[in-house]
Amino acid sequence: MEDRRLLDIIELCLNVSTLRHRLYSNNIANVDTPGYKKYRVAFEDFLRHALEDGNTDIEPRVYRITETSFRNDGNNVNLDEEIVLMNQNALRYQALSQFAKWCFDRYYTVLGGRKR
Amino acid sequence: MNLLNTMEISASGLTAQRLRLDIIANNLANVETTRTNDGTPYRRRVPVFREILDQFTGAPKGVEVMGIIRDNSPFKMVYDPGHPDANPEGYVLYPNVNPVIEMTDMISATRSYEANLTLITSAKSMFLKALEI
Amino acid sequence: MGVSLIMSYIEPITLEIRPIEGTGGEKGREKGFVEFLKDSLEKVNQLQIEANEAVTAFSAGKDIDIHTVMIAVERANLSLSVVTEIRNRVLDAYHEIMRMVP
Repeated sequence: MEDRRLLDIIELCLNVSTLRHRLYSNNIANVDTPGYKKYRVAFEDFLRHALEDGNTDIEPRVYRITETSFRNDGNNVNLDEEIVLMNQNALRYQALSQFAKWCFDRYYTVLGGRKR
Repeated sequence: MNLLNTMEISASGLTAQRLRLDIIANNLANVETTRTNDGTPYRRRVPVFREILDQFTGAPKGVEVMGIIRDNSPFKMVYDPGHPDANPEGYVLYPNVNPVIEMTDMISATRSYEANLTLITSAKSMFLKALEI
Repeated sequence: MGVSLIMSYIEPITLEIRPIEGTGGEKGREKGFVEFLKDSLEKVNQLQIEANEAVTAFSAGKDIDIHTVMIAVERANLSLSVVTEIRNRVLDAYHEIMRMVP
């Protein structure tokens, strides 16, 4: 895969990660809101298919999980689950940032150790 | 919404939980208030949360306290004819505040508050990492 | 600004490289390289513009992601470094050839 395309994919994943952080923030801010249903983002499946069939015009899909949980105020947010997902997402974002950095570092190596 | 703006969503959560804690504190402070300004016992207060949606796009933008309502459950009746606020039958009406419930709510509110704080810390780390690109 | 500076270095050089007599193929090749350089400089310039826009948008509080800004800026920096390196090597090659001339 050529480097420019790799960088585009990394940037796209970073965008989705940012979107996810926003929705986790909203889920947690609304953890005590009656009737609130949590948000989720679908994306990685689309990306996997896109990598196979070459069509990279993909977009994340935001949706809400509508099933209620055991709570009787209609709210289906599980605080512990959200925190774990949030942490996973934050680490992914940081890893992706590092990957982007490496994309550039490789060229600077070829340029003879020139300072960035 | 970028990472910086997203912190505002967490901030709305902090504000809402902080208000909830204030209300709990007020309930606890008034657990023995048999007579308020209008002569009746103190009635428990409860915040009502509502999610905020962007008025044009419908996108999620956090939470707000849409109002503070009174708990309409009945007052506690304690037999105490000597009490200045006793009714003709000798019963005193005490506030419908249960300290155990208030303490449980307080723990829940604190936990939610801290969770919102964690989101902000996380956004900060993510942002700083992106700066290293 | 930096791009036009590089252009001013490169243009005089490529104009002076003349094809050797009798070998008609040189003209085609020389033109190709100049085209490639001009093309690259166009792209480099475009990346500088995009980077400036990203930085300005972020500074003005617009809804742009920090990673988008950083990637745009690094793309601009890197492409500028590469073109600068090409310029340096063309210059070096030119000087070396000039040294050969008696």
